[in-house]
Amino acid sequence: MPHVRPSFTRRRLLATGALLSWAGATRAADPAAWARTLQAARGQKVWFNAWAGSERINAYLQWAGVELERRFGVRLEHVKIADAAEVVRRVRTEQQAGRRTDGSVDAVWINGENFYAMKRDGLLHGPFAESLPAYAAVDTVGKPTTRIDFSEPVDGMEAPWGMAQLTFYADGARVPRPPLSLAELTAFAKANPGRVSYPRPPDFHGSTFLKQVLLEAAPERAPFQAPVVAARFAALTAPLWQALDALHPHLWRQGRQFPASNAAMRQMLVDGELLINLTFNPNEAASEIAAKRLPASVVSWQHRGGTIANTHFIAIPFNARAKEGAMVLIDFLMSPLAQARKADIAHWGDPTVLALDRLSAADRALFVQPGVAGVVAQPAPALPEPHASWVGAIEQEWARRHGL
Amino acid sequence: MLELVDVSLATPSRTLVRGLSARVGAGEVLAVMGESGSGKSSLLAFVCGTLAPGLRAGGSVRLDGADLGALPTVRRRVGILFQDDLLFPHLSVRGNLLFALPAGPKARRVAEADAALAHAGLATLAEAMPHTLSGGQRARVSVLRALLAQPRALLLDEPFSKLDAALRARFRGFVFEQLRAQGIPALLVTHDPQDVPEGARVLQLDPPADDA
Amino acid sequence: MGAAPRPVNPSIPAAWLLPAALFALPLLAALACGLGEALDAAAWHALLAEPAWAPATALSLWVGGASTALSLALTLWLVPRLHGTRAWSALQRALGAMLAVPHAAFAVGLALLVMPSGLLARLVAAPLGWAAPPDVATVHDPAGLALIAALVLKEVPFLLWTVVASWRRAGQQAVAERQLQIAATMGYGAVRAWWRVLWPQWLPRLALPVAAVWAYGLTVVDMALVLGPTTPPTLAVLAWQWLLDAEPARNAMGAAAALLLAGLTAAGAAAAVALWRAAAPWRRARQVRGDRGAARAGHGAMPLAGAVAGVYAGVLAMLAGASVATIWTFPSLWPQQASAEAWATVAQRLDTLGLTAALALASAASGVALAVAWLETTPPGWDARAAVLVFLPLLVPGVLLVAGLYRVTLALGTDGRFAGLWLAHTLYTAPYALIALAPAWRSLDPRYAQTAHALGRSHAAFLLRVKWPMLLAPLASAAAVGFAVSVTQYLSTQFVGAGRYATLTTEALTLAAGGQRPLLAAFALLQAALPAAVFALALALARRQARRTGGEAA
Repeated sequence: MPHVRPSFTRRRLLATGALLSWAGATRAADPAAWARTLQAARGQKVWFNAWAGSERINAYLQWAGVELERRFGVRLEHVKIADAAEVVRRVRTEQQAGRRTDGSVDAVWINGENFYAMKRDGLLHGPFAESLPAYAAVDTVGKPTTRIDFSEPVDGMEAPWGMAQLTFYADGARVPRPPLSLAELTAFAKANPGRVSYPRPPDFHGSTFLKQVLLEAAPERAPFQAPVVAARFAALTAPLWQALDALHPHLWRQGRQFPASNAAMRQMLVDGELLINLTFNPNEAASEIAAKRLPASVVSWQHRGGTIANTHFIAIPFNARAKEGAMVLIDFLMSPLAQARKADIAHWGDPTVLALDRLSAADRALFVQPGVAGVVAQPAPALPEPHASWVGAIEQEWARRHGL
Repeated sequence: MLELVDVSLATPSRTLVRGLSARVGAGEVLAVMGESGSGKSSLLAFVCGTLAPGLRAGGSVRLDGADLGALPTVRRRVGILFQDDLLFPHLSVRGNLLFALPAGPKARRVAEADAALAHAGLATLAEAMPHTLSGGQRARVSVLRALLAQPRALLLDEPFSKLDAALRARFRGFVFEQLRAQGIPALLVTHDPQDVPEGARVLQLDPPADDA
Repeated sequence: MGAAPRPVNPSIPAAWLLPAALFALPLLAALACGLGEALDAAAWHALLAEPAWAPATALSLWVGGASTALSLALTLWLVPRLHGTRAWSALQRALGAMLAVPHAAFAVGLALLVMPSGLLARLVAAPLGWAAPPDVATVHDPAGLALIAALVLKEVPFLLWTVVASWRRAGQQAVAERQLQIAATMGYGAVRAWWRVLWPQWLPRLALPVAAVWAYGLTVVDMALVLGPTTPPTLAVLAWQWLLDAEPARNAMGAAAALLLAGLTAAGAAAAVALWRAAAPWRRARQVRGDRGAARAGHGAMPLAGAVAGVYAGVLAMLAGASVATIWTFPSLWPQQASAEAWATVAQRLDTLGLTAALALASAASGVALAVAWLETTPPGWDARAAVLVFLPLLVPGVLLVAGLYRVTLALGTDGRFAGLWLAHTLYTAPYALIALAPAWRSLDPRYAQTAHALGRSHAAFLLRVKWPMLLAPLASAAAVGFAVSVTQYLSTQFVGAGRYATLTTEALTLAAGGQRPLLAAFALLQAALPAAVFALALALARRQARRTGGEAA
């Protein structure tokens, strides 16, 4: 049977100048090999380490587990973790202890600096992503971040799962005119002292807020696409620290204390202690409204000039015991059925990585068109993430300046 | 002078003592004898002010003419000696004695304690810890301690029964001599007739009677 | 005279080696591994270069020291004033219940009570006219006051419990009562008598429990995560975060920080002992000064004890209320929307409850078995020396021990498996079981054994048919204690379990950082209810036993 090549022969290079790398064999989906994988996966138990900070995500994974068992005979175990960094540490420790097979992690929900660390240290199995049948429908053209993760080429070492963009939301009754830029946010904080904050880095929402401030405050964004250079770090990040110095005195607890996560901030929003929350899921507010955990007057927005956007992925550690099961799981999670349910605001609301025009009419119909309360009224441009190496450096500098 | 006026003691199920009256003068010893369960220790507890809550008591105790009534133990100044010497193990011999003495200038108190020890022939033991002393020595220190607190009356709850025969006689003599010298009335509870000093009165408590 | 008489039951040191080895080997291996990771020069350089380490260490010393001193002071103050009153027996009964509430659940409930949008703030919001929660840090406050308060509220019942246990030891009660009586006849008020006569004899006996309180206050992670400061956090929390980090250099820093904590624990204990000894002359002089003190104690003790018990009741009530409140905006006193959704989710997660219970039962059983084996076979002279080994898991910082335990289980291939978790939990339940059982074991009249042997029965028959049935009540209560200890384990479950095992505690703490308050409250409440149920069972068993044998229920 002829190979079904992915559509990159018709791909156009994008104007953002992102580096696209063909390094690493991009094997196409081979039906015979896939049938063998399905066979081997049957009966396996897949330990999927995924961030558990939201009940909706946990419920979605429970559904996925039921479907997976029913269709493929693969058992899914959701290992609830607080931060993917734990998984990186655990896999690395196993590698050092010589545990080359029978690792404790089969699949991990990951992106950014954690993916970078694992890829760099040889902790991942792959490349595998592009040989999965479902990968054919991934929108690698319209969503370039599915192939470049924080400016690091993916090379098939992780499979794209969902899209994310930094979004803010607040109760429209208390915030009639949402601030649409960093400057407006600072002014808003001045007018409402003690009612604005962001999660404490290295929580990934907090780190992303820092990156957003950096990209908005810096005169040029290009230097951040390249790996961080120690000599120029201070000069390049100076606008960030100045902006924070202007903002912090008006924050909750005068910027001396920060909430632990965006979930904690959501609770404080409901309590009335904070006015604005931030999230990576543009549909989070809508989803929470549908679940009656937020009042219906909540509105979402993104900064006029654009907010940071990325893709989140699933990867397989090098020593996973159930590699085939993991691949079957990932393929299922990339399938139109699973992606549609994921994008459904009633369940999770996480945007899909698939190109809808490449799907069959039946599959396309699965994707519900949002027109509900709480979604972003005017989507803003997607700013690409800085290179993964900037994250750790910014977090450490922030800890030095504001973490004590 | 210690007076018991129409004292009666009863548990919920039976009477221990009924209509007991007695007088003990200065330096006198009144021996209270009876079988086990006859209420001897309860009588002492009544005088001391530590009667167990379940017991009913009637009558009164008078010291030097004043009715003790419901005065708490802390204010009665009635001393007690038990079978066990109960010296405080964390204090030296002198420390135990100092503990009993009333507050005051340190030098005077130390002198008083040392004088008492010398009088009892235990001067060399002042710094020793109780656990290094022999049984007889501990018993004597315990008496000294009880007396240095300047009690107005002393209760003795079978204090000799744990000592062997030879020690017993010497210790008995020592105790009664001290009591006579300081003019303190004493109630002695014992089941051994040999413990009763010469010429002392004996109060025999009848065996327990059913509540009539 | 014939041959020298042989002891009826010669203690066989060899038989002691088995339980001793079962306990000591994993413990020492874990310590060795932990130390191995921590004794890395580069790690120490990195630690000392990290700006957070100094303020975090100072904070830890402050929190540990203040909470230990306050807990001890409160205990020493309360006991003389409550002893002998009606409140004393009521308090003893309540102690078991208060001890059964796990640290994490208590911290969560207390946070819900005192946080700016908590119940206490809402109670005063109306009269003070607040429309929004005040911008005051009542939890996560930089001075660690919330954490200190929670620690004191948890440790005072523990210290009271050790005092009560000490009081109950064979013969202790009679001697102590008599000594107090003598002091009373000499004119000493009750409180003064305790301080001059009893506390000097008993404080050395409280040394190990107080050391455990100090070690816990200095190195606690789960309570600090819920209530403690965040900028910077305590050194224990920092160590924990570094141990979980992705970068191996930070992991090594975490191990070094854990070793630093162990050193501080030892140094603090040594300093306290040195101070105690140095003050001896001054103490002696005070004890014999002769000042009699007030005849009657003041009336503050009962309200205070009542307040402590009241806080516990308030915490549990708050957890129950928060578990059904889905939308509860400030400043209303009642939730705007209530639903049993959280409990429905909990019902779906019955496997978490089942796992917690199974793990707790298994490790309680193995802990008690190990403790009994230890007590039956320890040669008499070894008690004091062995006690240090037994107390080690309570004195070594959890972060250090757990890091080493993980390596041990990794080497054994039991990490991420039930067996590995069982081993890790047993290492903690065994010492507590031993502490709970030792007084009963030591105070059993040795003549029972002699009688049984004289009647011609074997030692095994004596144990199975006489001794252990007689000690059923302490055994049940030790099992309950072990059960509770296992339920509250957090660090070991997270680390050794490779994240695969979600117990009630790990779920609660994961949720504590997040926003699902009703679910958090439901899990915390369940976390408290589970050991409480087991304690109630043990108490019922003890009561039944007491009724049958006419003895005293433990």
